[in-house]
Amino acid sequence: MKLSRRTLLCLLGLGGAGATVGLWSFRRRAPRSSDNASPLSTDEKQRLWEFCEATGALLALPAIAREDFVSVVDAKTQPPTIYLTEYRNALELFNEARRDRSAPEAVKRLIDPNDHSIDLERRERARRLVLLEFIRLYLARGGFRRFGLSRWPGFAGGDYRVAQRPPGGRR
Amino acid sequence: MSPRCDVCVIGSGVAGGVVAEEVLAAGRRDVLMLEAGRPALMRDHRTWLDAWMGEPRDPFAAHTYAPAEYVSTGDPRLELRGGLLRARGGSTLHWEGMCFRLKPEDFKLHSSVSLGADWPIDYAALEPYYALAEQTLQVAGDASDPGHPPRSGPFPLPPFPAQAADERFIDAMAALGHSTQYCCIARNSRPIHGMAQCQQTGTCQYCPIGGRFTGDQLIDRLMERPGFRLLTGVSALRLIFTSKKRAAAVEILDQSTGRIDRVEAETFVVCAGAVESPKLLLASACPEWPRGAANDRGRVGRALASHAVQTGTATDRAPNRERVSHELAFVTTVSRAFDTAEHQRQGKFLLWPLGTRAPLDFMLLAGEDAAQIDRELAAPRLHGLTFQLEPIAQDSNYVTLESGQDALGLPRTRVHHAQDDTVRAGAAAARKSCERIFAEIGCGDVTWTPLDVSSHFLGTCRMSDDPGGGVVSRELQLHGVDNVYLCGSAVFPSVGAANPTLTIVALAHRLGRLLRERHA
Repeated sequence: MKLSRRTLLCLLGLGGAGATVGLWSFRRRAPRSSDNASPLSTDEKQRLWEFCEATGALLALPAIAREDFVSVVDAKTQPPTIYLTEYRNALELFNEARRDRSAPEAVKRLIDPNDHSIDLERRERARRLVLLEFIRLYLARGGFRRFGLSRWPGFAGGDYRVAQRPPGGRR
Repeated sequence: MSPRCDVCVIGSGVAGGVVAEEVLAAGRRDVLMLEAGRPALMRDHRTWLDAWMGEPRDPFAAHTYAPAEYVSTGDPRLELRGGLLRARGGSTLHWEGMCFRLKPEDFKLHSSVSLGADWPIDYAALEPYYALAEQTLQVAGDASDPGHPPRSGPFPLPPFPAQAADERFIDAMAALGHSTQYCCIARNSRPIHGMAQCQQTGTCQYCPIGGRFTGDQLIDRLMERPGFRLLTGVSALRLIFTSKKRAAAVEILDQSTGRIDRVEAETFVVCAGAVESPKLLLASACPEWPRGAANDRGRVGRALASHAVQTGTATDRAPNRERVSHELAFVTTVSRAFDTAEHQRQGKFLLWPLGTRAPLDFMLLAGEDAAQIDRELAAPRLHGLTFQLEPIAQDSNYVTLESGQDALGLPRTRVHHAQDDTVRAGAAAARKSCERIFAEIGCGDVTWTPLDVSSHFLGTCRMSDDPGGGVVSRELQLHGVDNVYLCGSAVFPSVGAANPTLTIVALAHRLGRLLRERHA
């Protein structure tokens, strides 16, 4: 059996022996630099928030606080502003898709791999660099619980399931 | 004017930091530390977000070797890129934090099984320094666990609990009569030294809160000490000898100005790791040492070793009704049942389980609905086992100078590493042991990754009482030189199965105290 990329992505705890190299090597598409771009306007942030909320609604994930979302967006649009271009690209695609449908339906269109009406390169960037980030934000803020799991990397709080007995006994 | 100091430490990794701390504890000494790398931004929220949200990005990419800076040959090749960092604080900036002591038999490899080399010191001599090292690295563990070598005291921090996903491994090991234990790890199971408690989120390669020990934390504390100075972006080019037995200065390159200067000192301590330390000695060739400092016998750079690692995975035969998933992205349970004297001849190894985590993020991005996701979560789990096997260091594996310069103004590096038949045979035996464990867990066929090599670089300036057998003495003093010492993974005569950092730090405490006594 050959390990699929997904399986490899999920393999955890490769240990101190080179785990770092393995994890980062999955990087496929770097955000585009946008050092000279103007910062996000209040209106753009509001629309990004609507995009994020629509993502949560489409995927039936529990709500997150707007302040949490804004703190992430603010952090990622501080210099070096590598994410400004990506946020704006995703926002444009979202706004375009939203013209004739609801916000969650617009997100669904961006997610749908069979919808070829959107420029593939731009959509892939929006999916991998923005939508995935929104999804992880929801999961990290507790959305993983919806699927019966008790913990998610990046979730800095709450409990997790602990083995009932200490390792190995006392041999 | 050229900087002067009592003690010049070359390298700001954890070994250099501990030596400096010990020397400064005596008072009335000043220490100048040289670091070729630059400070990395640590505990930064934005960097953490960049690393873990959206597309993963290596926050330390600018602090490791570029591919053009070294030539690596052999099979499997050792890559300097990624594993080794050249930055303020050294490679522990991105380490996993596993901290295991070597065992008494590791110090007597050749005496026991006629392979490799013995250490000139034994476990008992290093034990008090292991205790200090565990304090320095803030190690969490349980001293009452089976598998530990003799210890004089408890761990400074309590262990992290095992996660539910480890239970099947723990049960299978018990059924086969093998012990397991909590992973000894340099993570803060309680707040310590002003740093927060580890939140166990598993985003460990870049911790936003300082929840585990990293070398920069030690340097930060040193910066507050009178008598300590640090120069970053300054490369040590060569040691300058006034006689065969004495180095008077180290020639340095200030990367920001391009200026070449000298640092004069009474004592030099080279703590630049198993790659850059031998390179500095080789680059110090002079009329007194025509083949490089302490290299009349050609030992410098030889006997490079790195743990062999391999991971097996197998699918459970039973469905995952409880939807157990690997919840923490770091190791919480290990076994040293195969890291014993009786396994030394065939190749001893450390063993830990790893699991799979449901990739919810990618499932959702792929448009999978709740029912599809639940079916995947309840499907039979993939179990994994990784072993870390002791290799026998071979002189044919080496580090040396390559033509040209790297980005830090240092000579480029040539590294050669190949695994021999003893490693391959040891790995075959380890796989058999693991396959019995997989069967006990209830798994089907096992798939193995290729036999690989770790990012642990060990040996190259071996410790030996005999100048013909090594580069430094048991006091870590260069053979034939009165005032140059070398500390770090480079001095290991043999490597055991355990991760090396705790032993590096124990050796650094020991050397620091020795220097304190010698200069009292």
